[in-house]
Amino acid sequence: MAETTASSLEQLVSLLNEACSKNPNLKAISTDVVEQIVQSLEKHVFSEDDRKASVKAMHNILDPIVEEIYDGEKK
Amino acid sequence: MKILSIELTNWQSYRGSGKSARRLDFSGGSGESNCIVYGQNTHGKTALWQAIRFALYGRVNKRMAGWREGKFKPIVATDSADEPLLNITAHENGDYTVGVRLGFEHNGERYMLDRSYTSKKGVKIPRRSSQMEQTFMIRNEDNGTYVEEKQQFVNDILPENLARFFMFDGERLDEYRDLFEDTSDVELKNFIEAILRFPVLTDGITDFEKIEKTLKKEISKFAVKHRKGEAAAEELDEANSDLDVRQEVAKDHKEEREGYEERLDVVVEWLKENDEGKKALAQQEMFQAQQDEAVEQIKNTERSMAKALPGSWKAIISTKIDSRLGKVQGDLERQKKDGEKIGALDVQISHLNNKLEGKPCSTCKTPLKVPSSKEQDSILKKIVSLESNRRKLVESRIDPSPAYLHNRSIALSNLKSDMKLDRLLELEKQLLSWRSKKRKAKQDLDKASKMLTNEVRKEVAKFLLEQGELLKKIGKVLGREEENNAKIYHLETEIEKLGDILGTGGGKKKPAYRKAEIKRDLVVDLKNEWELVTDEHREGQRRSVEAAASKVFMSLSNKSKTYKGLKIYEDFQMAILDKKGRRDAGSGGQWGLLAYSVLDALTTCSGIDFPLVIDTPGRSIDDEHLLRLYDYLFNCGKQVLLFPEGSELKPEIGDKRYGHTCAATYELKLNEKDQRITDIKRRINNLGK
Repeated sequence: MAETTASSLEQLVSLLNEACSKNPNLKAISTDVVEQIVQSLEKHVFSEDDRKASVKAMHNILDPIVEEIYDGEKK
Repeated sequence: MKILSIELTNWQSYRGSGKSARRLDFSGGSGESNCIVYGQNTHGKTALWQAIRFALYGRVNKRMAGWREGKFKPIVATDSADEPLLNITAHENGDYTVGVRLGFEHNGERYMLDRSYTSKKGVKIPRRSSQMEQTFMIRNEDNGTYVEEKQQFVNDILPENLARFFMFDGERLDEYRDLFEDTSDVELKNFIEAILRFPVLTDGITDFEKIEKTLKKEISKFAVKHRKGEAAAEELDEANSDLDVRQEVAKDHKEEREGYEERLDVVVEWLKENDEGKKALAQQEMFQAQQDEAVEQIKNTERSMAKALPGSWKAIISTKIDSRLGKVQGDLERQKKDGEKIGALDVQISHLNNKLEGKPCSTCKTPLKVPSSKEQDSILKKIVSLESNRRKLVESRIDPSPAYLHNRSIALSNLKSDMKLDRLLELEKQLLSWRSKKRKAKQDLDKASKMLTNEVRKEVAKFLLEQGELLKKIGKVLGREEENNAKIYHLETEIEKLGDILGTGGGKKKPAYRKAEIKRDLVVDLKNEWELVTDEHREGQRRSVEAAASKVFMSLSNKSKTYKGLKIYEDFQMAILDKKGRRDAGSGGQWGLLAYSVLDALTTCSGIDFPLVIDTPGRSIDDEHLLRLYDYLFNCGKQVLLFPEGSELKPEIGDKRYGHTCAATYELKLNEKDQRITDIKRRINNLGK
């Protein structure tokens, strides 16, 4: 019987979170956001629209973070 | 995800609709979820396996079609050789509904998926799929709601492309084995990568690049505008500063003008109150002006006269002309007399010559007597004397000719009466007139001056002067104000234009510009991290799959003592390694186990929660290994729906060895009356109530 290990997705999220947390430019990218991005990409993995829907979804994830950073800069 | 039940309506060999639709349950009363459906070849195992795929994805591959061939079974056909999904007997009996209802549990909630086809309205007997109409719905059985994005919902559970790793057909195990042995098959490689989430990285990088590219374009457009904006901001500062200055100046101008106007009001008021004095002063000024004008005119006239001819010369010239004219006229008189005398002498001389020659008288034509010698001498003497006189007269006669003298006389007379002289006389008259006017004006002025006391005159004059000066000053200020206002207007227009260029952001970057930069930076960094993680994840997953597959393989293989395990290379090519780590060719059975081990490892590593639905599992695997495989499958913790052929797993053995892990076991048999129809017999029932 196969051991219960973290799934490829969980491992990937974990790796990405670790990488992003080390990047000071990605302070605003929380673990939740990384998970959101991964889920979105996962959802559009077999997209047949030249990745338009995926790119749009990515914008939707990043837009609030951009707003947050922008507001922070204004202060 | 767990499949709880399946209900088939006129599905291939499963005849029956409504209450008589064929149903299999996979949910045991004690949590058992496995199921074994025994059946001989052509008894409907594969149709059952296909029913699950159809329910999820709406189509069924023709069995003989390979991995890459997109050939699907028709919904309806009148010939069974076409393998229609709608049961042929049902079709013959006018029952045109075909479909599958799939009960399942996902994330703790129960759903009922219903996908079916019925003939379109107006179609009496459907013969082609295009004459059929699909109904597809997913209902949440716990809360009674319907799922809106149905197909997306299914794909989120298990994308169709990855279904082959969970739902596989032992008949095609050789294909899997070949593919794992030689992963030059790009499509399969892609699916392996997909199940291990590599596309999350590769697609992510693609998406980030796309976004970055778009943002770069946007940013470069913003930058162009912003550079203009920066220049505009500087200009705006300057213009605003100029405007402040201009507005201050306008304020000063206004104050200055209002000061003058205030004073002017006082002056005008005073002048109104001193109207008499003002009038007298006006008269005085008028007479003064008249006098000034007369003086001026006198000067002008005298200048004109001096130009025309000086007066002192006029008389002299006139006298000289008279004297000259007298002389010319005297000469003409004397010349006339001399001419007459010469004429008389000529007559006498001619008469004497005629007399001398005895010719008739030149005057009276009377014949004359020829004179004597003595008379002739006397006549000759007279002639000589007369000729001498004549010569003297001719010599003393005035030259030039009388005609010249006459013309001269006329010219002199004309000169004396010429217009120039008349003009001089006229100017002299004007001069006298202006002198008279000057005298008159002086007298009036003297009178007017007497009307004003010196003091009043001075005061009025002072106020009038001040009034004039104030009006001039006000005029000047108004001029300056007008000029300044024009500049203010120009600056305001300029500021408005610059404001338009800058928007509300002043000299700073516009929000959209800055946000685009922020997003680009984020995307670039995310892309970098995604790239960094790619190799690590790939290698990590390779190792995980290798370890998991190797472990299962070693537990199943009867040659595990001679094997070290499985090797999965970077390109997901696979190999069996002997104890020394060398590639082992392996038997067909070993490769069959390898395929199962890798499929299991891939599904396990994927983390995707979906049952293993295996049709004819034992192809290419010997009995010993097959039992080991079943042992493994029914204890691996996943829901397993196994559809073995009789020789692969006898029902008695299957029920005995694995029945306790199953919700139920079923056996498929062809209907005795109609061999085209499958009947379902339940063998073990752990379904509970």
